[in-house]
Amino acid sequence: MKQYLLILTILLVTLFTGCSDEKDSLNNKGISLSKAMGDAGGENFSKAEEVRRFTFPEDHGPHPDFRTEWWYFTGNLKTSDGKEFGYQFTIFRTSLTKEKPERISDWNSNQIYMSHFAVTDISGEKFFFDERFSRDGNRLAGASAKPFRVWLEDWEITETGGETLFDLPQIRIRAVSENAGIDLMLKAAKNYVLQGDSGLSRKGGGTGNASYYYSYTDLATEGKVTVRGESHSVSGKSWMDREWSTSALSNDQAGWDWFALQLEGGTELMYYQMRKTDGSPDVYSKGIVVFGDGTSKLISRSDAELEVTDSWKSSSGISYPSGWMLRIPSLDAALKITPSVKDQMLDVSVKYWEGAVRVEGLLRGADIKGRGYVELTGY
Amino acid sequence: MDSLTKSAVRNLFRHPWQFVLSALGIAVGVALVVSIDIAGHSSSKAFSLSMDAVAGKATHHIIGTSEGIPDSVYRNLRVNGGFRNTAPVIETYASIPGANRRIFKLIGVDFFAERPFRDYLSDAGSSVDGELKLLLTRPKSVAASEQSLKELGVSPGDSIVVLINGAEQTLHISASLSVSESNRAALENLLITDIASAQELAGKPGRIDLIDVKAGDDRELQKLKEFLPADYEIQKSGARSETADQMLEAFNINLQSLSLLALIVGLFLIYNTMTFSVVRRKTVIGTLRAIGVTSGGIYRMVLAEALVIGAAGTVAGLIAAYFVSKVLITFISQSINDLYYVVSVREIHVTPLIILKGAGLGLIATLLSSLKPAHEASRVHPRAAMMRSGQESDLLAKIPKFGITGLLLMLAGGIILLIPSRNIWLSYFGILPVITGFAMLTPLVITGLEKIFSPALRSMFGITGKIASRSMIRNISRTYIAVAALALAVAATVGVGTMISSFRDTVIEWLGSRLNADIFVSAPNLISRRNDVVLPDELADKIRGVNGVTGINFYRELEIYQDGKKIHLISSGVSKRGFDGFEFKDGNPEEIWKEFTGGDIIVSEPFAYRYDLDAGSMLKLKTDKGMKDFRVAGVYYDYASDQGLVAIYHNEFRKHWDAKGLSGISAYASDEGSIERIKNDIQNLDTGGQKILVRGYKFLRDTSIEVFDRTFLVAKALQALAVIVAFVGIFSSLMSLQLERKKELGILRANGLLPSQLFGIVSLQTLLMGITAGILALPLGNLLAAILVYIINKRSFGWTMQFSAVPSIMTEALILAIVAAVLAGIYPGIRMSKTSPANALREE
Repeated sequence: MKQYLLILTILLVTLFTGCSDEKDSLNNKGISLSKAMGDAGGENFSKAEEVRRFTFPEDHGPHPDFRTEWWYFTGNLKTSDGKEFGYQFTIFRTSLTKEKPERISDWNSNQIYMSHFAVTDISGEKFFFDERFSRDGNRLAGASAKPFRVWLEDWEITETGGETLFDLPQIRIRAVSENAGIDLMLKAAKNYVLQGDSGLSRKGGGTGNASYYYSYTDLATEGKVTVRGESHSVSGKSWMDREWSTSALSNDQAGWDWFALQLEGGTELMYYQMRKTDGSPDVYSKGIVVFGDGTSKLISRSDAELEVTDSWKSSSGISYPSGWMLRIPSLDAALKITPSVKDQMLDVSVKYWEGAVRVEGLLRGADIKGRGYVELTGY
Repeated sequence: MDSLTKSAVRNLFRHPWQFVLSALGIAVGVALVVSIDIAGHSSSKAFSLSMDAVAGKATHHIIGTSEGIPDSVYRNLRVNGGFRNTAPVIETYASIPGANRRIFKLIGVDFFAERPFRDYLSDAGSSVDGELKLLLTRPKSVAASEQSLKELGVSPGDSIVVLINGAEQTLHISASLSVSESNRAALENLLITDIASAQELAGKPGRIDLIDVKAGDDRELQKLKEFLPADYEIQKSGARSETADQMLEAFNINLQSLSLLALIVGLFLIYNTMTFSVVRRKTVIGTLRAIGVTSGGIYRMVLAEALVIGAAGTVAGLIAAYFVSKVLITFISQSINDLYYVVSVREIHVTPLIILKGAGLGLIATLLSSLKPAHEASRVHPRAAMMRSGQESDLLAKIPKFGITGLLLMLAGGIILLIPSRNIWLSYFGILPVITGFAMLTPLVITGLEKIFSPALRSMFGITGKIASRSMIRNISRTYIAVAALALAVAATVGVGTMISSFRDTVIEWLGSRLNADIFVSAPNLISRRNDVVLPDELADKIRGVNGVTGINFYRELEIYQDGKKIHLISSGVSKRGFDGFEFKDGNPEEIWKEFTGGDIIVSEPFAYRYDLDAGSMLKLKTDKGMKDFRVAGVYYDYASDQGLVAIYHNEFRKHWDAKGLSGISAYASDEGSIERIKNDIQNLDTGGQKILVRGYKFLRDTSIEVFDRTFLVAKALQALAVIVAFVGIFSSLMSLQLERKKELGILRANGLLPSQLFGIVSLQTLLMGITAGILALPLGNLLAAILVYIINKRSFGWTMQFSAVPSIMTEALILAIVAAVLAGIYPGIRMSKTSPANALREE
């Protein structure tokens, strides 16, 4: 879900803001590739309007009829001697046009890929991030279901040939940037869950303002994290979100706070709160809880109560919430959520805060701990 | 400034005519040298700017094989190698059809790889926001600077029709790049398009011209190299600009030298002026010496005076140079486009160094040419001031000695010229003593000619004739300089004219034997002498199959970059008949033909000269399969390229290079009557959309000659300017001479000579001087031409040319000298004839 919102920010920035705001929202380096990603107005793309049947592995691959799509991974990892790391790796796809023109050059392209990669060295209190763009022309970037592969140059998500579990082949994720790198093997420990109404996730009023959305909330992860040239063997849990859509949010939505928490005992909890321009939570805020046995339950806006307990100000002067109390009375849950490192802001085309968090509190009345990821946009 | 110098300077202003005229000599000389320097520098700067615009912040370029770089190599670098600081580039040219044929460089880039490289695509200087989608998804969309768009009268949303590789293309203007100070130069004449469009427009699907690299250190480059095919080269950015500068070196030096000729004439003028000034003021100088001024004081005074003239001339020359260079640039950039590479010079670049060089040249020339007059002035004995004819009798006595010195100087010049060096400057330096020596022979020639003319003049014009011819001798120290200056200027025109004419004859003869086919087929090109457009291979067979075609030749041109140099390789599918059009420096053509078809190469004369090759030498060439040694079978005469050419038999070429397509095809017709029909048939062949030019022998020969003539337009312009300087020179000499002889002429008038007779004397005398200068100019001019043909051109370009003296040029020169002299004599003549005897003699 959060990822969807990220793209929407881009769309909002590009479609609804004037030039004067642009300097604040977009960095000034390079041509505005992010704009190109949002620049698909007037095209007759497919829309997420009805509940559909998901088929795998096909749906792991791209859906170029829809304007935007992403493969989104986050996770908390640990070395055997207790060093903790968080990572985020996302590949976004955007269609510029519905039809691809016939051309002789292999560089011909109507699909743009963007990728964000971040590593949090929790023990070392360091945060590294990077952003990339490319086109699918000349096969510099792309996505396929069989075999499963999504790549942007040398950053890639590929199936390893290992056993397919819960419809997901075993995956290898590789990304290297200047100061950090990951090389991780992921396999599903739990089946996917369909978000929203059987995978049709409504974002706002009006038909088609929705996405197709499924998540693997528990991916057993092993591999290596490299920070400043030093390689660490790690293991832990990852979370994968898959979402594709066409439509934008309504004008009165400003941003969101998104939580993906992996708790001890095999319970995962996702909740996002959409903020309206006046600061109040939108009715389209929602979530899901996935239990150890793989069963899940939707959480609606009225089920949850989110309280901000702390804040952090970036060097550029943007103030983000930096501590929460999430209460879900129906689950008898009161979870204290704290960023593992305060500064986990990605200073990329669209600035946002996305980082590893620690969770402590009560679930069904019992003490519980956990790890997770939080995304804050629109600040 | 002491009072003595002040008086000397004041003296200058009392004779403004003389001051202005001699300053003019220096001014024209300086203006020429500097404007050529500016024009050369501006074109080189324009080229390197256009290179920089493309290179951006790249430190290196990856150069592939003759066919460029396949897309997959770049993909491998990015996807498997993870080399982020790389960007693909395709370069081509787009010319706007129409009167002023503006040429744009069209570059194709991958916008997603651009960030580390090209500033002008960033928001800092400009933006293509929103339009990126169009650039990516709409074929043939381009972005250009807002300034270029304004100049073209188009805006985003419009389309323009351009010629790319000879094919008409409609480009859609998708984005306007805003111009800032930092990117203005880079964006000038630049069209930017997406790499997909560029591949389609340039007709190179699947190929990249080069990959830009931004490398931090050698280790990074090494790693990169390991990821590339073995025969790929990583070249330093800027190497191409350097190659371009090297290409132009000889061209520029020769232009420079021609302009130096003008300065040498100016040098004579200063010498002339200062000598006069000293002679005229001998009494004053004698008096000054008598009242105690030291000889050093006099020396400095004369030098100071000269420096004022030199400074005034230099300043005027520098100002004039700015304007002259604007005109010159048009000529020079046309020649560069004809001969070397595509460049569009739209701005004048002046560096402090150019100004400094020009100023230094002007002042040093002035100082040098006034050393002798200053020395003479300082040696004036107080008593000698009374002896007016002192200097004349001195020189008259010294004429033979003077002549011998002149001969020795010429000899010395000859020796310098014969030093087997490749240094063009040294060769030009050798010309200087030849000219000076020749000038020193002038008094000898004047006295000799006077002996011949005197009786004839006397019988024709009586006493007027006698006086006219005798006074040449009487005033020899002054007349000879004027005559020498005129002779030199006219000789320069004879020399340059004869050299060009010899060159032209040689080229025409060569074209006649080389272009021995009837019909020539090529793709349209921007550079007259380079073919980077390729015709489909099948076209050769199609043309062979046209009814009435009895044989064909074809070739494929290729540029190889190796060791920082560019080598033009011609893959020649020549028939034996075509090969007979080649003339070799030595060796048996039949043998060479056998060796050539057997795999040896042949090289053109300039190439052999540059690379020091001869029949039997070996040459390493970078093939698509690695470096390979080739044996040189022979050296052939060729005037198509001053950079030189390497020719290899087509079958052999195919073994080592992958390059496809042909640059040109020529065909023989069974009979002359069918040529037009065959041309039509060829024009109607299916060429797969490639525009072709089908031309006859005559057309090709004429266009080649046209290019040749255009190249020498600058030389001709310089020639004309040298004559103007000479005219100014002789005019100022005559003015001084007549002023100097005021009293003498006054006495003649007092003795009953009519004003018309006096005018006759002056006119006759200038006529005599003109004839003398003309007669002197002919041998000197031909000598200069011979030096240019046999030494300078050979050393600059390695060309052997047939020297041929041109009677018409010589006749023109003679007439020029006489007309210039007579015209220059009219005004002084009128002034003198009007002088009242009383005024002229008042001094007594």
